[in-house]
Amino acid sequence: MKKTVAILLVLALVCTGIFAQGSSESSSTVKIGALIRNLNEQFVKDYADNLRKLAADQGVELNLQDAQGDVARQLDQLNTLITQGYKYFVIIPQDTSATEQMAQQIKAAGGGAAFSNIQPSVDALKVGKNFYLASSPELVAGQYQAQIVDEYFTKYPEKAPGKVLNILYLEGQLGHPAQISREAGFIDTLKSLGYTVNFIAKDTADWSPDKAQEKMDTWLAAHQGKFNLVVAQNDGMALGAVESLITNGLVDNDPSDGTILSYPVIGIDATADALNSMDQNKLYATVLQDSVGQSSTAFELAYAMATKGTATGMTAWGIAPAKTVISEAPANDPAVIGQCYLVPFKPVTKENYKELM
Amino acid sequence: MEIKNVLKGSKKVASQYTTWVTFVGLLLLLSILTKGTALRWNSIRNLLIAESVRSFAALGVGMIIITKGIDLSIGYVVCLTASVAASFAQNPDYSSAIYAGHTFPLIIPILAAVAAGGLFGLFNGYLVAYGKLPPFIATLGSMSIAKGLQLIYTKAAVVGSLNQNFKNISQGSVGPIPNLIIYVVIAALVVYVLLKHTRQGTHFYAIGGNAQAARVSGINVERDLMMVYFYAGLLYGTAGTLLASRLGLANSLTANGMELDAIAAVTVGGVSQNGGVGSVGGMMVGVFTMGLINYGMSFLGVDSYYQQLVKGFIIIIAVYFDMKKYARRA
Amino acid sequence: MDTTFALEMESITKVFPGVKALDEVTLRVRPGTVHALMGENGAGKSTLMKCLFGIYQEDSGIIKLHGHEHRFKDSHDALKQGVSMIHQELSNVPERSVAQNLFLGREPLKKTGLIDHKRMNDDTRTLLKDLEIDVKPEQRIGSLSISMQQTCEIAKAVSYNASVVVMDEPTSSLTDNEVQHLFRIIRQLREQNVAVIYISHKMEEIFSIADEVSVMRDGQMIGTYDVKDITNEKLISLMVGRDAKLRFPEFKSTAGETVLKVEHLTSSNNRSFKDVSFEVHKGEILGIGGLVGAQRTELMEAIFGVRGTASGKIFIEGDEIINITPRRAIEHGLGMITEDRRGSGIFPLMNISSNTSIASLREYLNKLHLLKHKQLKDESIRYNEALRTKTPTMETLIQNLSGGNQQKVIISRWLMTLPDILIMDEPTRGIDVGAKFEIYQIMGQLVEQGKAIIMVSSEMPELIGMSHRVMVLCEGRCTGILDKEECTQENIMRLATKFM
Repeated sequence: MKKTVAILLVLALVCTGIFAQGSSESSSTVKIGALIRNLNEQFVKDYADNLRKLAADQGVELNLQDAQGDVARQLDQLNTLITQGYKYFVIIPQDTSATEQMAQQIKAAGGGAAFSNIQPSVDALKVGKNFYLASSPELVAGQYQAQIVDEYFTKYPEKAPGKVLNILYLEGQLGHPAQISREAGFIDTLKSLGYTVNFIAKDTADWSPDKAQEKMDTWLAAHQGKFNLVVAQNDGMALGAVESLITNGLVDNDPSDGTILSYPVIGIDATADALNSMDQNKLYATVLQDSVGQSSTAFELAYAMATKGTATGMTAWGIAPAKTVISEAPANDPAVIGQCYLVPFKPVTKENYKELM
Repeated sequence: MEIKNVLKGSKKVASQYTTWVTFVGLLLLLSILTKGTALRWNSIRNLLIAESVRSFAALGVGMIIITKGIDLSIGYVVCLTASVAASFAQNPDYSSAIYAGHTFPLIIPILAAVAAGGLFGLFNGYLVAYGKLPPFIATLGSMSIAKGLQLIYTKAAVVGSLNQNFKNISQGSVGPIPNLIIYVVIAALVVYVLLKHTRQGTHFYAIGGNAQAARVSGINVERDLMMVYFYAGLLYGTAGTLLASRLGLANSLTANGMELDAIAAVTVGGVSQNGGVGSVGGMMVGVFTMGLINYGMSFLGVDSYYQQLVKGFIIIIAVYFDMKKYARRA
Repeated sequence: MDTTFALEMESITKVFPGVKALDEVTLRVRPGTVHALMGENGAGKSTLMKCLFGIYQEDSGIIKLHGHEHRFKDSHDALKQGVSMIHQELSNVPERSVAQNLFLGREPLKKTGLIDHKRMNDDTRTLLKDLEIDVKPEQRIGSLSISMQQTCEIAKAVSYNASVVVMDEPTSSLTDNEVQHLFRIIRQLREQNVAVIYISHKMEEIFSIADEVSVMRDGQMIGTYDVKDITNEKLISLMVGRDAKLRFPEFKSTAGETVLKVEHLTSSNNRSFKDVSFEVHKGEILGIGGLVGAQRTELMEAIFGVRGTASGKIFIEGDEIINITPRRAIEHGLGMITEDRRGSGIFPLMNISSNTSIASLREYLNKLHLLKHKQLKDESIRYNEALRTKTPTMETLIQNLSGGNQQKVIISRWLMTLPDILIMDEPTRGIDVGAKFEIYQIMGQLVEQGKAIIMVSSEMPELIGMSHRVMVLCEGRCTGILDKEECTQENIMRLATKFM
């Protein structure tokens, strides 16, 4: 019996050999590989959808791979695409620390890449001129959240006596670069604006609305009356918090301050659901993480590399390469600042949300 | 008549060697669909590398399942050991290194990770063998403990900026053969000898097949059970080291869900959840079958949502045929 | 007697690949009779019953119920038509009550659609009272003794108002008293004009309960006989196809020096055995008798180190063995063939060779501490050939062998450890007549070689026919040790019921 198995195996290998002979690469069309960290997230999905649309418009052969949240899988997918002859990539990395290795592999294949959403390391951009950042610095999102908070409490100082903020804070997945930077930007900005920042409760809800709602239910039972602000690191969790406030009866039904809830809730991403919630005077405000802007910039860079060999110095989606360094890596290093395309975040409040709907 | 016999024969082969037939079938299918491009040496090498770390997990949990146990803690234990290994291999000048300013010899991260894995194995083994906890529950608990320890140890931050020597453990190669593949071959050989040629290995099968009969036959069931979890722990520790070295980092998401991948792989490889059945060959074929599915579908550009679907069906079908093979003849 | 038959199976043929399991078998059963169905294991009794209950589809033949042709889709369908079966193995749900088990799958409902527990319990109570079964409907069935559970299964079969009841070795785990109780129930059924098909290996039972007996051999029906007109020897020869001269082999051996001595052994479980002392000598078979619940198995398991003891001493060859475990017991030359072959004997998914060698691996290691596979296999073959284990190959999984051959493999396993003392707990349970005789022969050879055997048995003839001496237990205490001459059924029963 073992022999039979062996024979089958050999047969299979022979077939493989025969087929392998007949194959050749088609190089007539422009091929771009897209490595996307996790399609289960709304922002990432919007980003991917826009990529697909752009590729279809330009007649580009786009191979889009979903890493499903796994660094190892993303590296494997990169290997697979390189073997298939893909050289130019649009990447939402799963993790900053793996970006240098990815860049080196792409360079070895003679190609280049544009990174979005999760920041590549400085070293990744230093691998070569054809590696670009096409993203919005996460710090900025936190900073915008802080500004929105400042505007609110400047208007209603009685809600935060002595500029003391007692916050319920919902974090994304722990260790996620966005989780770390958004939090840092938020706290630093508030402090520089003269606020005392107390976290009444702060924990991860893994970016997920239902986990956020659960967490909030517990917190409301434990800390009722002890807080004056709810902040979440993305809209999904912010909407979970909104639901929790409503079911726990923390509603003043007075939309004059921009929300019918007793406390303002602020998110990030400006998803469609979040904008709807704002329209119903529930969610107070959010920050636009521009999926279309980021993906279009990244795509234009990759397309330029694939057609012209490089994208150095060009303007992509109307954005010119940055000239001055900011405090967040990798755009904090003058050596690679010319490779950074900073897509702006945008605070979304009562004044402007309708433009996005 | 001849043809009939051949058909009959091949039917028998199909039911006897479900695992192999599935694997070869997939291989053929993929080479046809991609006109052979998917199976060049480069691609095969990619596939082997991609599955290397999972192989260690699969060998470990494969042995455990042979004793009729299960291990749900794999993913987080590998995550923890990867973090431990990475923490001793960070560049000393990296400001957010866990032991910033210290340089350790290369052996330290390896030993520390393997020891951490081994300790977790002993813990699981003790709970199952002497604490008489159902393996599902015991390892469910230790899964959460491992996750907690990892978050505490790393303060939920990424353990990155690893030194090149450490990265070379996984990223290097001997001639055209990547190191990782060599490690897998060695591990598979060691487990093969353990299972096939030692008394203890035979005892694992006996315990899984009928624990009470094993006890009556003079087998120290508790000690052997404890050891099987310990060996698995050592393999997870090795897996963690290699994974950190390969990725150049470890974070709280590293290896998440690996337990299910490993369990699915060995199950497809013919290791019976009812205990007492399974071989190293089967486990490895199982791992590479699952790898082939992943790899093939991403090569063909199949949407990741459908990949999950196809994987699920293949697991169910493979196990269905395998169960039939061992059904008691009435 | 009624002229129409309750059940007729006409010319049933069933072919499996390579084997003609049933060859034109005809069985006719009259209502109001007990019809014994006999034959060695593998004769085709179970296959015939499986065809009756629709588990197998016969290749040809007709089944008639009360004169009308009928085929059952499955055993549930058969039940609805009044044909029920009591299996050899228990098939109840241990965590549920007696009533819940009896009404499993047909629970009486209230108008609301919820289960009518009161009615269920009341009906069960009436039924149990009619059958003189002393059990409460609310009791958890798993808390009852095995024999009581078996009796409840019979009650369940009766509760379907069955007109045909098939009983497959119903007495294999019952004591004599319980067997008598079962027979009373069977006679009651007979008076209610029920046809009972009674499958058993035990001659004594056939002669005391059956009206007619049909004998099968090698897939063929040898014939149906009136029990009044047939003798024990004739039945055996019909079954095995040759004249059975002796039920027990003759062997010459005399008891030598003491190899095992047990002093005042008391279980750590205070409801189990207490203060048991005895000796076993070389070349001797010591029988252990007693009723179910006499703690015989528990005593054996304690001597072998599977269960704990609270006090008492065990000496092997004069050395006291402290903290005994199976491993140590084996090292001191003890071997144990357990009562529950499937539960603690065989490794179902391992082959014959591995099943044989599993307890002896320690003796077959090379310098690197790796197993000597070739030698292990050769030795396994040698032992199994000596015991004439019938198997296609040594690679065959043990679960595919018959009970008798499985038992031979397990005996081979222990012989391979070169034991001086072999504990055999119910060595011939569930084994057909031919294989039984072979096992007896093996036991004879072993004691002739100077080994000692401790044999626990619930079969009186076996106990008397094979043992040099018999120790009798009653409720965990030794009530006496009988020499060969004193070994009579009456003496054993008297000791076995001493405290009752």
